[in-house]
Amino acid sequence: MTAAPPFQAPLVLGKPYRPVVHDKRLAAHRRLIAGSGLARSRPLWSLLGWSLCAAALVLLGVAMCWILGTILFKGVSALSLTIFIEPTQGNGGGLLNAIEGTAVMALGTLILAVPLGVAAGAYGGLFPDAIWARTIRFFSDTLVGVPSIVLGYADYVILVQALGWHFSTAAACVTLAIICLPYICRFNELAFAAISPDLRQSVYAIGANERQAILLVFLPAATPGVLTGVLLALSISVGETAPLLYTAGWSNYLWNGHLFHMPIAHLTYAIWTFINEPLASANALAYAAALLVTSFVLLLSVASRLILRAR
Amino acid sequence: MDVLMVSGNALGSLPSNVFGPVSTMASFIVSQLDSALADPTGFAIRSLAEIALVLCLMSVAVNTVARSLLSYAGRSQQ
Repeated sequence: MTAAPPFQAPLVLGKPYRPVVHDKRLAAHRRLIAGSGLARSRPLWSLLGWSLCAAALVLLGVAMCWILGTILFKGVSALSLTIFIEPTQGNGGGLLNAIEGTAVMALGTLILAVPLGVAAGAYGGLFPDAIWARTIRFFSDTLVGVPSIVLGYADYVILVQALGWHFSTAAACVTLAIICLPYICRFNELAFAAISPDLRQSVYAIGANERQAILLVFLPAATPGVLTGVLLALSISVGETAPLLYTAGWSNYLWNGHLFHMPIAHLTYAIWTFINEPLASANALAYAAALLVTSFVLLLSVASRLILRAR
Repeated sequence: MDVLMVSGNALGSLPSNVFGPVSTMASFIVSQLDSALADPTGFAIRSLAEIALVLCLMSVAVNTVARSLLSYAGRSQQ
């Protein structure tokens, strides 16, 4: 028994193959476009579209090169060993306290946000039409649109003032986790939604329950998406400034391990504060902090793109 | 924050041209919190909370309209 021959489009010399369209509305649209002259002006519109795309590309490229060039030029000259081994002393010294504080807050943010985000994303991706999934999606979309300063202010009023946590590591981590949560959630939702229906049916067909299916099969399959969400959350937590002003505060000392009642230093505060100081040493600290933050975010961005490409 | 750094944060005045200083609601919250904390009556803090609430409501409203448009477009394509 021979296999059926593959489908071949009927070729007519000089004319591209077009499938027969049975949709009456589509045919009516085509007649309308052909009669209105839009078909004749299509090359012009195409040229306009490509020109706008090229202009946007040039604009973005120039802006990014400008920013990176400025930060590299001024940041590299400000870098020294002191930056990495000494804490800040007034308007000088190093940035060890800020580097350590940023790392601590990033870790705390991941601990708080990743389990919740992965769980919510898995639920949204595997059961997209469930009412809870739609609710999570709505809140997630809304939370992405809320300015981070509003979240910072709300957390200042609730955590710092009402609950009495004061400027602290815990308040900062909770705020950053709330900011990162929708991004992790959406990335994970996309990753879990991309799991093939065949795999899902196969897992349930061999008798696995929901917990086994998600933890042992779906989560490993969605790992690239999960990792991308985690890296994105990490870059957000490192680069945020406004909400941390109201929740983390600033400290010239290294983190003493206390989660509450003790402010903590972070790199973005150094940029925000020291760039406006009239002293060269303070400006150098700001540019060094900017270089460190930008390099880290750039590395994370490249890593997440590589992971996505590998998927 | 970034807008605040370049906008000039002109309080209580409308910009006369596109190159004039301007203030946004978010930058107003950032710039005024320090002085608001020093207000013993608490009125300044509540004022900033109202601005934050307006920003939040605007975000929710825009998001709701966007979702409605997407839903409407999806239904019309079917």
